[in-house]
Amino acid sequence: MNGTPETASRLADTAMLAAVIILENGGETFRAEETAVRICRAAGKPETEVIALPTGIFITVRSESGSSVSSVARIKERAMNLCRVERANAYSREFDSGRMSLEELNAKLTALRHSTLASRPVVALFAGISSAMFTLLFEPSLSLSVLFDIAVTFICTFAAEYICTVSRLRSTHQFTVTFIGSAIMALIAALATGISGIGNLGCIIIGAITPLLPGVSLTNAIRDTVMGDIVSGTARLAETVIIAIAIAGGVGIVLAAYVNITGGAL
Amino acid sequence: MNIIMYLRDVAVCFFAAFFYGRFMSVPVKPLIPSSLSAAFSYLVYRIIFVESGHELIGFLSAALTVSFVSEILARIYKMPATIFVMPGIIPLVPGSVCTAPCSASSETISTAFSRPECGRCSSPASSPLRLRS
Repeated sequence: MNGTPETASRLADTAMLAAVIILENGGETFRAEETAVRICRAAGKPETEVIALPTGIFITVRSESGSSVSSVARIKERAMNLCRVERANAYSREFDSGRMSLEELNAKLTALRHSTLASRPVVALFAGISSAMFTLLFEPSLSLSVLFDIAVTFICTFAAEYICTVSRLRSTHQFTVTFIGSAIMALIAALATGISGIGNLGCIIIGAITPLLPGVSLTNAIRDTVMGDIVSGTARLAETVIIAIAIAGGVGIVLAAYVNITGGAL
Repeated sequence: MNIIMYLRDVAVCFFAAFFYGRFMSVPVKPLIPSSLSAAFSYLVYRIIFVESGHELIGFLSAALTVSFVSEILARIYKMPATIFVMPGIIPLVPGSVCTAPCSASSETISTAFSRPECGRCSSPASSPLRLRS
């Protein structure tokens, strides 16, 4: 049984599934490669080669007879769902320690890939509370104006994050999503502070954009580069720069219009 | 006075990191220690920055603290270190640096398009994004 082409191709599919789940949900590139190799090695195929890039994965599983099975997957959507990364990693370790069969692993990974996540309003709510806390972190002291800032930040992030997730489901490009999201945040913040006349616009905007910031991509880029995956590292670094430009552009356009309309009275 | 300020920063930072982690769907069990590490590392940054005035050394020490604690927690909980690094690092991500170009560009654009009598919007004091130092 342990040498038939069917087993090898089943193994390649399962290893691929684990690597795809890790890459699609915000894991590092080296972790995807490591997990795929671990699954193949545990199934008795140590001569497995895996190349993972942020946009695709190549896996070749070699049998003792000399035949090999290759598999390629393209990764189109990347989001941040670290619970899936954690689960995929845990399943691969259970398979490695022999507590799970290949069929079981495949079934669990397939179920994990299609598992339901937290609903959109809840995710936007978490983002809003987090942003409000960051605004509070930047404020020098507690006063009525600070409470106003916190409330406005919450509304900004909640609205922008909700619209972002909805548009992301309609497969809009990430640049556009980030650009529109940061523009909405800056617009709400500028309107609220402009109309009411109180509040610190800088603190509100810097707190509100925190969920959009590419801190995760940047950390992963540096981790990948340090681990020797220079292609993935530079690709993710480029992604970071693009996201940062989108945020700066979205906020910048709204602020420029605001400064122009109000004549520089900020 | 200073101690109250530091304690407030730690508490706020804990909740900020916690809800940011929930936003990225980190499970609650590993999230509590990683939020604590976020709060602690922000305290490290804050103390070094306030006492010595060197921002970069503060960031470096805080980031080292986060990754060191995260690697230990990853071994304890047998979970990927990413789960602990992501909420831990987020208070150190400089949002103000990211929006600095847009604050500069909004001034440049407004100066370029504004009427001549509105020259005051190009002065640095009218920058829309200001933070406490």
